[in-house]
Amino acid sequence: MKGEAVTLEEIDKSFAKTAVVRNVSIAVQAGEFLSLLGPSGSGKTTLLMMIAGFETPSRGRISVGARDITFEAPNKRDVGMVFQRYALFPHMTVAQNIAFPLRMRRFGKAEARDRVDAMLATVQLEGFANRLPQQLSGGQQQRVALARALVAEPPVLLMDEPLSALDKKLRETLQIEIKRIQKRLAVTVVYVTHDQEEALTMSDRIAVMAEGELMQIGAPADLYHRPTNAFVAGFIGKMNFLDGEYLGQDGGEAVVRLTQTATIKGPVSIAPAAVGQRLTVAIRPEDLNVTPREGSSSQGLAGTVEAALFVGAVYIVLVAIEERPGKVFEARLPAAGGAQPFVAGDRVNITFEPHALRVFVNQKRQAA
Amino acid sequence: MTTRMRIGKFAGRAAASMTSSPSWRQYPLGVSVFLIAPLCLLLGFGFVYPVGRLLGQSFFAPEFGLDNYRRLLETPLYMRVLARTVFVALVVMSASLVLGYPVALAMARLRRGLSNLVMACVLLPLWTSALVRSYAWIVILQRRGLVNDVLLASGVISQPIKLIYTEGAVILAMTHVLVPFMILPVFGAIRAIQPELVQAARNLGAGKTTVFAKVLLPLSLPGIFAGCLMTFILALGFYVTPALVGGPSSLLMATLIGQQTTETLDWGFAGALSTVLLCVTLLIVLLFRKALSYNRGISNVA
Amino acid sequence: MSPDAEFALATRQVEEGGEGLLLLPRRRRSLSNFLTSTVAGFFLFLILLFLVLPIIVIFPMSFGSASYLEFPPRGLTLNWYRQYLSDPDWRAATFFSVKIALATTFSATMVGTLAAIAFARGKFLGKSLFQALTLSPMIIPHIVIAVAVFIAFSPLNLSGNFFGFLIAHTMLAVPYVVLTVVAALERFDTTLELAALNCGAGRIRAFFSVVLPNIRVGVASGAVFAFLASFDEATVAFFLSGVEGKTITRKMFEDIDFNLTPVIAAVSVVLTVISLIVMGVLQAFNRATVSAQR
Repeated sequence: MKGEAVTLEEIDKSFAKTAVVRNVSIAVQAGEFLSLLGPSGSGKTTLLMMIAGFETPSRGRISVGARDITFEAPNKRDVGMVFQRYALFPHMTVAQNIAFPLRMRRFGKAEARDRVDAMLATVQLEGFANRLPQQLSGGQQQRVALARALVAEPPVLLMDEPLSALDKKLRETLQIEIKRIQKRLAVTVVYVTHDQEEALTMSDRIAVMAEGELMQIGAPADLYHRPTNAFVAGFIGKMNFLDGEYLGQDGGEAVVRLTQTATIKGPVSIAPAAVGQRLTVAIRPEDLNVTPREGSSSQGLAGTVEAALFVGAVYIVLVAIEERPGKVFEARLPAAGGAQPFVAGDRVNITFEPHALRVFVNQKRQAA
Repeated sequence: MTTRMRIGKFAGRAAASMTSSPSWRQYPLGVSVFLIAPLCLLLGFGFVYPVGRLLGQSFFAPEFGLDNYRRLLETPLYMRVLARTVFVALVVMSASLVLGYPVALAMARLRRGLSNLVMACVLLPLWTSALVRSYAWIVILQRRGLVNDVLLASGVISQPIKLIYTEGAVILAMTHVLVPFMILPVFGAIRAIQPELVQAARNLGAGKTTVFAKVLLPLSLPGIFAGCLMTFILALGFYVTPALVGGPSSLLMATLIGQQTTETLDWGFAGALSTVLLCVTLLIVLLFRKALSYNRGISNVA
Repeated sequence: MSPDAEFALATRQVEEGGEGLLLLPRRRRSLSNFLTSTVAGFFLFLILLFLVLPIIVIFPMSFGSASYLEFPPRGLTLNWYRQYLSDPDWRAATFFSVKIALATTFSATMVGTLAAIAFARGKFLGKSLFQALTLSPMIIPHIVIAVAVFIAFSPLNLSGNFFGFLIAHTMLAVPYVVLTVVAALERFDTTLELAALNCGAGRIRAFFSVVLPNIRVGVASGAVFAFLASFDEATVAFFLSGVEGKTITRKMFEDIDFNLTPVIAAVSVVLTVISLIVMGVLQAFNRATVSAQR
């Protein structure tokens, strides 16, 4: 099996008068594992349905390899699909389910049986050939669905939130399995999910979507460390946000006043704004330093500890920012066997390295 | 994008929208029309055409005009038949409700085994032909039938009484035929009532009658409406039972229409009678619908 | 039982069964309950007897040697059944009815299933109007339909023969098929059909391989209702029957009016048994299908 590239060019999709997908262009490399990540209503599932052929774009082009499949019927596209609720045929056995795509392609009985057996081995369900889907657990059903999608060796595999109905432990096991199978078969995968942890774990690249638009596309580390807008910054991983006042440029960097005592300089992610404009500043919890504050002198952001939560490897310290009522920053400090670093009520300073900061011009969308 | 690609894209999209549908969960227009065509032909020729023709004939035979309707309205005999039909239908509906509600209640509230037994007793008459059931009533009510035999044997009467071919016999037999149509909707409505409501009522101190009057009865009202509507409409137009069990003194609209068609061969008049029967039926349906939506509105607030 | 124990028992019953705050001593409570439930039970029994009695009555009637109902029957005989089976008129009528019922089942199931697909999954204007029209044979009084069909079909030579009956009975039976199949289709998960398409099946292939096996119960129920709607049907059959094309129901009608003998009881028993067997087979089929897919 050799995966092929999937190209989406300027895809628009509207239902009635509502635009569900707006001008999305994505080029998936052959053999790549790409996740479409976003909250519900972001258009990611619609996009997947258009690749599968169950919806037709209002505008734009979809191709697999060199073939333009924009208007091809869904049964002619040769893409495998795994549905959210598995969609296994309840009146057929596991083996018959997996053999169905082969039957549709007029495979001979013997060859079909060989392929089905091979597939059962790949998904580690040998011996389940004659069971009915209702007799299997959720995880097993999902593996049968995967086998059925891959048995005809399609160049592209589409997956619509396939693990969302399973519990956490099972999900993690299957994530690893899916990744392993994908690497071995070198098939291109387009994977829809709303779980950013899942996307980070499994993907070669992630395409983040919100309200029908493509917010950013890149490798997981890129999206995590270099988000280009506030939405992606907040959606991937945990992020602290604070808005401040733009004071101008200084040596290529933007100067932003956050509070009376804290003024910071940082790289600006969008084109520079006008002096006096509000900007959004974002920093990861693990990039914060929290130090006790004595007296009235303060460096960085002054705050009071609200809580320090022990979660095994780290302490999550919640700090209420002075001068910003209601604003709470989350810091992650290594727990390393020591005693609790802070207790509620402690007065602290929050400091950080300037290069860890992201600055965004205020946008409509901001994920908390 | 090159011009060729643009043209190709446009043509493709045009073709796709004609043969495929925007969403593949639905079948496109062409296929839908093909699927519904046989039914259209069947209903058109087998239903709309005959019924339309019958109703139309009432205005055209023996000559154009409202003669048939005038005859119907001006002859006391025929008006009496209409009144009797409505009256009988009302009595049958009420009797079905009185007899059927307890059975539906039992079916919904009894234990599994007993409930199934009751359901079997309801489904058995439902699945037997109305013709067979009407014949059975003849056997029971005739001069040497079951009832008379029992009454004679126990000495209550000395001579067999005329039970069959009376209006009472028609009401009795029709009730028997139509009671299952009352029981099933009421059963459905009662079954849908959450048992927690009854438990809550009992917990708050309500006795059995209060529970019935204030909880069960109001919540099963939609089922009662549906059952009453069904039995009333069926009773209005019923032919088999009145034709077999009724006599000349208990002529109903249905048997009258039958008479006019096969014996008097006055098809225009039969058409007029049918139109009136249909109008009364549709009127009742609309009234019930109105009453039901009014009731729904109230219970929707709850 | 000591008052303490009684109280403890009553309290436990309140907790367990939510019997409410009616902390009556257990004995008294069960007596009033017992009385009301026996009286209620007795009335229920009477009503059920009313429902079932007529059907039970025809059985001894068909086996009794007298020409009226005797209880207890003085002599048992199969004479009436023999008469029924040997009489050429009865046999012709039976054969005709069965032929029509089977043909109606086939055509009504075909037409009804196709239409149900269009209603449940198709896209066309005036759907609700069509749905109302499809169900109207069930609402319009049968006498009106019977008379209308008779008057319309007579000049077309469709009265009293197979094709006229086929059209009329199919029209009466189709609403049942449409109702059951539409219900089954609405319960069916369309994602399964999408999965079939994705696997490479065309629309028609997907329907026969995936949709149809999963709506079997609806189609079978519809078919059985269609059969019974035709076989047991008396009103339309009465008017539409002719000298050659006479249904068993029409013949029964005639004989009840002019030739009332227990042969009719025998025929009734046969009709009833057939209906019950057909319904029983359907229930068994449905239960087997449902449990296999559970």
